Amino acid sequence: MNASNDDLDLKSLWQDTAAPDVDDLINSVRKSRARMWQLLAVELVGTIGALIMMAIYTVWGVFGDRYWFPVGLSVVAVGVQAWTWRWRAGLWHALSDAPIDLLKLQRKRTLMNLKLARYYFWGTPICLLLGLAFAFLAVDDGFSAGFSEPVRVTLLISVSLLALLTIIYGGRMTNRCKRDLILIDARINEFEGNEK
Amino acid sequence: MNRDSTLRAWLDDHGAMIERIAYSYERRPALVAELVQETALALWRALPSFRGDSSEKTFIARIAHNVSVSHVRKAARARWTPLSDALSDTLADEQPTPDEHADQRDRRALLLNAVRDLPLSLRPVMTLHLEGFSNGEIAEALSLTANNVGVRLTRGKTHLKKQLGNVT
Repeated sequence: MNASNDDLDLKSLWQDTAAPDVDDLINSVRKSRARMWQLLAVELVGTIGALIMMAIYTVWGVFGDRYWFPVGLSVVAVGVQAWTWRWRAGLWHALSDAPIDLLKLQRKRTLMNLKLARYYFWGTPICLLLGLAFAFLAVDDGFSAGFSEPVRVTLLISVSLLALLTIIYGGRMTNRCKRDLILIDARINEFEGNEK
Repeated sequence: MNRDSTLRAWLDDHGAMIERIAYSYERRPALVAELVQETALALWRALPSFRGDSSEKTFIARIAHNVSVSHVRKAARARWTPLSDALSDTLADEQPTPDEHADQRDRRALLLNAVRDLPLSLRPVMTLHLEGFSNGEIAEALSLTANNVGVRLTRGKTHLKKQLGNVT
């Protein structure tokens, strides 16, 4: 058998497979889209709810004349939400790019994720210390002036729990990003033909 | 034709190719099914960006390769699957067939494993060649030069020949 016949034989052998169930695939696409919309709706309701609560507390005078506090929190809430959406958009918009460009973009994003994970890991103890300072030190004219003891204790517990969770999350995310980075680098090398 | 019906038509025409491309990256059928679903979703999302500059088959093949190649986490989960397990997984869902069909099935499984063992620099080129793409179409789908495709094809065929021995 000559090379051309071998090639044809391999092609027919390769292509001799059944098609997947298209109805199942269409259903899975519909379900994924529905999940995306549900998540978006829940997040929108959460963010808008937080803004409304902040407005109500302000009207009730909970923050006294410290208007920068609810405004600052609202800006942070909206900013975090916008950033989350941008982050979660993932690589799908680049899926029609050249494979090597996609891999390089994926590498860049993973590096950014790694930086973020390190920020979570190291930044949260600083936030915890700041929380402690706000809650217990600046009693007279600082942020916590006028807050009662139970409020300060609640603040301390909340900040500590949040910090602990963020440290755990940051540590796991760091490890995952490092593993991903090794795999992506290997794929880039392999794709460019530099494999050993 | 709206977006949903275009996606259905694309999956009807090219679903088998998408699944074969996913199998060229992953051994386990469950992961392949996930990859095929993700490719379908990626196609639905990418549909508005399809301007018809290339053929739809080239566009779909590129997205299918990209979804598979960028799935490092799935690859990490699957990389410890022993080859023998993968082979039996791949064949597990198939119905018992007469001898000649069983032989065909075994040869296909061997070919699939040989393609999967190709280095990543050669695998997409070889996969698209086996799908019946011309060198020009492969170059377009993978953003390579025609010369580069030729070189990689020659190396890929040599690798495959070595792996398969006298299978064909």
